[in-house]
Amino acid sequence: MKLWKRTFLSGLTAVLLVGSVAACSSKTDNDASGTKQEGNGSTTSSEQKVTKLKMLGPAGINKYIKYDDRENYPVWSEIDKLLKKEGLELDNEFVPAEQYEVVLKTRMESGSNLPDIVNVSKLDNTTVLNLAKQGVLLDLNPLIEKYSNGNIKKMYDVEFPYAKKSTTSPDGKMYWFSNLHKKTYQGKDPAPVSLTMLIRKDWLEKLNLPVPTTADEYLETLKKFRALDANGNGKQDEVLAYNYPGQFTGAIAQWFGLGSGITAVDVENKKIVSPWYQEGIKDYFRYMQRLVKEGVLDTSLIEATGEQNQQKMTDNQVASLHDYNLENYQEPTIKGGGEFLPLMPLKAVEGITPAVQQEPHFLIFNKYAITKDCKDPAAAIKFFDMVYSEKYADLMFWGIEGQTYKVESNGAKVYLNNGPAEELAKTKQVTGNMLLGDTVFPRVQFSNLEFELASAPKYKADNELQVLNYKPYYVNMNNNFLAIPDDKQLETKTKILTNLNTYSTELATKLALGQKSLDDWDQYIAELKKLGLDQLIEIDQQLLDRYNSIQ
Amino acid sequence: MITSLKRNPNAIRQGSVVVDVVLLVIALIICFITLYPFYFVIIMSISNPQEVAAMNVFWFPKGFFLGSYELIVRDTKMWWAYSNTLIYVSAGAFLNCLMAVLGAYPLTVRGLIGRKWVVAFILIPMYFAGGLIPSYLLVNQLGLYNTMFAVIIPGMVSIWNIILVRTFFSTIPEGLKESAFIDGASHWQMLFRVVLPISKPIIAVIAIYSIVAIWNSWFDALVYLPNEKLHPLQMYLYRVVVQQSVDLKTLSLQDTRNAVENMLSNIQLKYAIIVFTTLPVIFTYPFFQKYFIKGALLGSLKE
Repeated sequence: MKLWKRTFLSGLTAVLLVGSVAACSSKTDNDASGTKQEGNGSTTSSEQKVTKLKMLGPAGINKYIKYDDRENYPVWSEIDKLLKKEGLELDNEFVPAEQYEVVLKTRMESGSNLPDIVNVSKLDNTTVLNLAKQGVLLDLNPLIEKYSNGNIKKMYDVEFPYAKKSTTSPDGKMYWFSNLHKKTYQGKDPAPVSLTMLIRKDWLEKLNLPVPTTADEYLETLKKFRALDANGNGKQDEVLAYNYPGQFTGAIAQWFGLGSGITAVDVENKKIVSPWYQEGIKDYFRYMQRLVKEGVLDTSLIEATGEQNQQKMTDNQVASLHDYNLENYQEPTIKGGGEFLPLMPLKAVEGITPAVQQEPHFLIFNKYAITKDCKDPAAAIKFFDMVYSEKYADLMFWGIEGQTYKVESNGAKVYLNNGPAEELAKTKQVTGNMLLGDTVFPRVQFSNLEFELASAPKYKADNELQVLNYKPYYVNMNNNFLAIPDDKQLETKTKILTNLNTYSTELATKLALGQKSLDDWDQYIAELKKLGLDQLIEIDQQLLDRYNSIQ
Repeated sequence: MITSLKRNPNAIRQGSVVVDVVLLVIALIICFITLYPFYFVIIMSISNPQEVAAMNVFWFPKGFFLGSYELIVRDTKMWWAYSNTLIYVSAGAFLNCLMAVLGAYPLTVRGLIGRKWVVAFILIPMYFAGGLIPSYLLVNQLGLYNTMFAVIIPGMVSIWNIILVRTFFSTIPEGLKESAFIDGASHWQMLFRVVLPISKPIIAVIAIYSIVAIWNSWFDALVYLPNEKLHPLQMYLYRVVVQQSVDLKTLSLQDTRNAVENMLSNIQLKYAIIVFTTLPVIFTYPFFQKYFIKGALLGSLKE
C-alpha cells in the first residue's frame, strides 16, 4: 500500500512539474498561433481590413529616445497614421541591439519562430543568399510586380537607381530591401563628404604656424607641435593618431594617389586598382618612415581600439588624425577644449595629384527581408510601399515641418534643433529616424548639405565646398560599388583574402615603420602575386563591371 | 665523526628569518597582483570621467564622481537584471543541488541493476554535446524560449556535480546505511534524513560552484532571452561593453556621431557596473567557509 502511495505521489509531482512547463509553452504557442491564424487573415474593424505583420528587429540604441515612449512623440502619430491608412498593424519584436546578431542568427538558422518581416542587416550577403536558396527568405521582385502600388519601383528606379546594383544577387533576384540615402547640394548636385587629415587649428594659431599645404609642411608642422609643446603640459607628447598605415584607408595614402584598400574602386574610370601597383606607393612608405623616425606618428596607436584613441584625445595629445571633415564629436571630448581643421589633400609627390577619400553621396545599406512564414505577402509589400514613399521619407529623416525642421528661402530644409538626445527627449521634437530608424523601419533619406554646413564652423564648411567637385577621389566603402559575387567568385575571393590581407597589412605596416626595406620590393610583389593579388583584382573588376551593367 | 658534525649549507633550517622574509615578499607580490585589479576598477568607477577616458588613474582616484553609480541606480533595467539574477541564482543553485543529490544517490545503492550502463549513459554527454542549434531547437520546441525557464532548466543537471556527490556518498560507511535500513528507513528517508545531513560539505561545494557559475553566466540569456526584462546582470554588463566596442570605421558620419556619444558615456559606466555585479559575490563567498564542516559524522557510528 505504502509503496503504491509513494509511487503515485512521485508520479503526480513529476506530472505537475512537466505540466507547468508545458503549460507555459502551450500558452506561448497559443499566442503565436493565435496571431498567425487571425492576424494574417484579418481582424475586421469597421470597414477597413487590418492586417497584423510580425516584425523582428534590433531595438534602438538611443538611451533617451525610446520606442516604448513612442505615443508621446508627434512623429510617431504621423507614422502611425500612414500605417493605419494602409490597414497595417505591426507586432514588433525588438531585441536589444547588442544581442540581436546572436538572436537573429539562431532564429534564422533554425528556421523556427520566424516573423513576417525581419531586419537581416547583421547577416552577411552570403548567409542571406544561402537562406534565400533554402527558401527561408522570399524573392521580392515577383511580389513587387504583383502587389506593389508603384512606390517601391519609383524609389528604386528613379530616385536611387544605384540601389538595385548592389542588392541584386548573381541570380538576378532581389532578396532584401535596403536603407536608401542620398545627400545633395542645392537640390540636385551630389554632395559627398570627405575623410581627411584633421589638424589642431587652435595649436596652429597659438604657435603662429601656417596651415600646411604640402606633405612636407605637414610633417614639419607636427614636429613643431612637439618641439614647442603645443598642449602646454611640459612633455613632447603631441602625436599623429594614424591607426591603419598598413591598410591604405587613411587619407595620407590618398595624398600619394593610392586607392583606399588592398583593392579599390576608381569610380570615374570604372577600374579596380591596387596601391601595390600604383606609382606613389614607395614614396608613401618613405614618407610614413619619416613620420615614424621623427617621432610624430604614435606607433602605439597602430591598430588601436576606439578606447585607446579616446584616451589620447581626452588627454589633449592628438595633433592630427584621420576623420570626417565635418565631424563635430571629437572636440567636446578634449580636456581643455580644442578645434580641428580639415585639410584638403596635400601634394606629396611631383607629378601625382593627391586624391581625396570620399564617403559617397549615396549609401545603400542594411537589409530587410520577407520570410517564408509570411502569410500575407501583399500586406508586407504594402508596408514597404509605405516606407518607400516621400511622406514617410520626410517624417523619418526630417520629422515634422515647423517642429523639427524648416524650409529656407532657397528651398533647402534645415533642422530646427540640433541639441543632444537628452534634451530632444524632453521636448519630444525628434525625427522618425531617432525614434525608429534601423529597427524594423528602414531609413529613406533625402539629405542635403545645407543643414550640415549651417551647423558647422565656417572653416569646416569651406573645406566641404572644396571637396564637392574635387577629383581624383577614392571612396571609403568600396563594396558599395561592387555587385554581389556568385558562389564561385565568393569562394575564390575568400580563399585569397584570408592570406593576402594578412600578408599585405603586415608588410605595409612593417614598411611604414621601417622594419622592412624597400630594396626587396620585387620579392614582396612576387609574394603578393603568388598569394593571388592579380586574381583578386580580376574578380573585383568583374564585380564592378556587373555593378555598372545592372540597370 | 667529522662528517656528522659538518652542517649541510643547503639545508633549509626551520625558523630562518631570511626565508621567512623572502616568502613574505613573494606572498605580498601575489596579493598585490591579485588585488590591484579590483582596486583599480573601484577607483576608476569613482574618478572624474575625463580622467577615466584618458586612463590617467593608477594609484588613487582622480576627482570624485558618483554619476555613473547614479545612472546605474536610476536605470530600471539594471534593477530588473539584478532581481532576475537573484531568481536565477537561488532557483538554479537549489535545483542543481537537488538534481545532483537525486542523481548520485541511486548510483551508490547496492544492487542497482544495469549500473554500468547508467553510468556510461550519464558520462557520454559530459564529453559530447549537440551544439548550439540543436540546443536552440530543443529549448524552442519545449516552449522555454524567451522564458525564465530557458536559463534555469537546461543547466540544472550537471553531470560533474552528480559524480562529485556520488564520490562523496560512496565514502559514507555502509554500516551507517545498514543500521538505518534495519531501523526501517526507506530510500527516501535514508537520503533525506541520514545521508544529506552528513553531506553538508559537498552540498556547500556544489552550491557555491553553482551560485558563482550562474551569477557569472550570460550566454544562455544571449541566445534564449530576446526579452530584455528577463536578462541577468552579466547580460546587462555584456551589452554595455559591446555598445562601447563598436567599430567606428564601418559607420557613416551620421552613425559615428551616435556611436561616439554612446561610447564616451559607457567608458566609466563599465567599471561601475563591474563593481555592482561583483561585490555581492565577494561578500557572500567567505560566509560559505564555515559550512565546510569536516567530521560531522564523527560520533554517529561507533566502530
